[in-house]
Amino acid sequence: MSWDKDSLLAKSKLYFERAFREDRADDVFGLWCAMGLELLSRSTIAHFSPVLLAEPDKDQKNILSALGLGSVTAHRKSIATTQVLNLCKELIPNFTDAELKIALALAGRRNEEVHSGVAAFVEYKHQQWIGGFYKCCKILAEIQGESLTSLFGEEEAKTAENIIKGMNGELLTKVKGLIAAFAKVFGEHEESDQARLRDESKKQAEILSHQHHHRVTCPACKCDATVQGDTYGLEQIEHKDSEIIVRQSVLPTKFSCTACGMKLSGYGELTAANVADHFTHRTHYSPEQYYELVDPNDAEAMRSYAEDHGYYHFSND
Amino acid sequence: MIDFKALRMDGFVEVEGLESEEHLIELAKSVGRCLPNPDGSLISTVRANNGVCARQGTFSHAYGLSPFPMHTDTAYNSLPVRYLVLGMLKPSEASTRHINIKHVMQAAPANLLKLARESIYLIETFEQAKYTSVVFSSDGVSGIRYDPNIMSPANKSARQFDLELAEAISGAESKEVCWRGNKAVILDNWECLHGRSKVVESNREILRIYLE
Repeated sequence: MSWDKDSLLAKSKLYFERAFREDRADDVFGLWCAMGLELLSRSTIAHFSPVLLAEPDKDQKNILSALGLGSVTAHRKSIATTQVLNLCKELIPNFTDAELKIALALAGRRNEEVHSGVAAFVEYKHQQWIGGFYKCCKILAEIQGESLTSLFGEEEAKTAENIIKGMNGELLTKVKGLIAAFAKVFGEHEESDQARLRDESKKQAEILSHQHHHRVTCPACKCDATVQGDTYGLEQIEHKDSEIIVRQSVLPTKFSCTACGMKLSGYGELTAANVADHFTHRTHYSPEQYYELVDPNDAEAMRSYAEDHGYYHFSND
Repeated sequence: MIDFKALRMDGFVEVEGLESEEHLIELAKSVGRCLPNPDGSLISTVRANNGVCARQGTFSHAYGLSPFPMHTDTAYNSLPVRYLVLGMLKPSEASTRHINIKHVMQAAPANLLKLARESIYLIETFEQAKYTSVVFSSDGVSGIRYDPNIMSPANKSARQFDLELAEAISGAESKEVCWRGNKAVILDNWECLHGRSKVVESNREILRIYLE
């Protein structure tokens, strides 16, 4: 049994790496994140003392194991995740009730996922937990002298920091007010106008959904609207017989509804409006497009390639 | 006399005129606290052998009397031992090579240290398997653990680090300790990798003390 901080932290990093290789919309992403967070919380407690991870027993064998004494191969019992997270709250001043709540919720979902037939992370939407999850990770990493960058890598850490910045109570009040105002104005239109606007926004959203927009329901007027955002994380490349599909996660940052005219900007505002589920861009390429292949028999294409790449094009015509 | 300045700067120092096992213990105690073996003794006598009867996972099991690759000792510990005190009273034809890995990494492109920090390895011994980092720190002092005999890369950064470290080591000059008898060597196990050359004699014994 290994309850030392180093091995728990290394394993949590490995689990986060596995999570970030997955499509964010995939339920496996949530499962890896939840398991990574559990290991991170245990490494945090081990940072204070691995003895705290040992389940008390009358022979104190679990404590001996935590101290690195006794048999290494013996299976010892560690305390439950709920206790680990409660200890985090006890020991770390900025691990508040809010962080405890989200960490317990993720641990509960992990439990449901592996102990039952429930698709626990399908019904637990990404935007409900991702901000709180990143904040928990930041607090637990920093208390043991680590950072989001050392835990997640530079790019993912940048995304996480942006999402954490967007979590703001005042913003929630402001956005709720905005939604109520646009809902009121839309409700004052004639019913026939509302139907026309609903119809037009549906068509517009359909067109935009093929142009890297993601369709959502407007929280104010309930018509079809779209969000756009910034790509982040690893590109996932799938090779099929006649095409190559490149998928990349998108952090939504802009919301626009053509029916009621409401616009939101920044991940924080979109989260407050409940339209911030991360989505995936899928781009389909032919092998020629993806690998920038040039047909050597196509003189025009070869000439253009030579010019684009700064080669001297020799001709003795 | 131990040249403490050299030990601090190079992570390594040789001491000539080793007289006895007691003398080795005395030298070790002047550097740090000795870590006792499970039976309470402070010195381990490491005998070179062909590996037939050696425990699985040990260098002797994997390499027998052939050269041992560069490694740090006790990489499986959550905190590896800080210093390694080696001594030989009799001469041996097999030498010990060592290299200061921190110096190698400082001289290498910055990417190598970044890779080291991002690397995660799986450590497998006959007792257990667990994940670990290459770079560790304790009380503000950082160290490197690296033992290719029991550590295998568990992520992409570690796979890349393995390749780049091998390249950096091959391009750097390692030092060699020739065991001519009555000699001790003190190595900073958080900074230095060490390895052994091929053993030809049948009764090579080296004395070893671990320091906290």
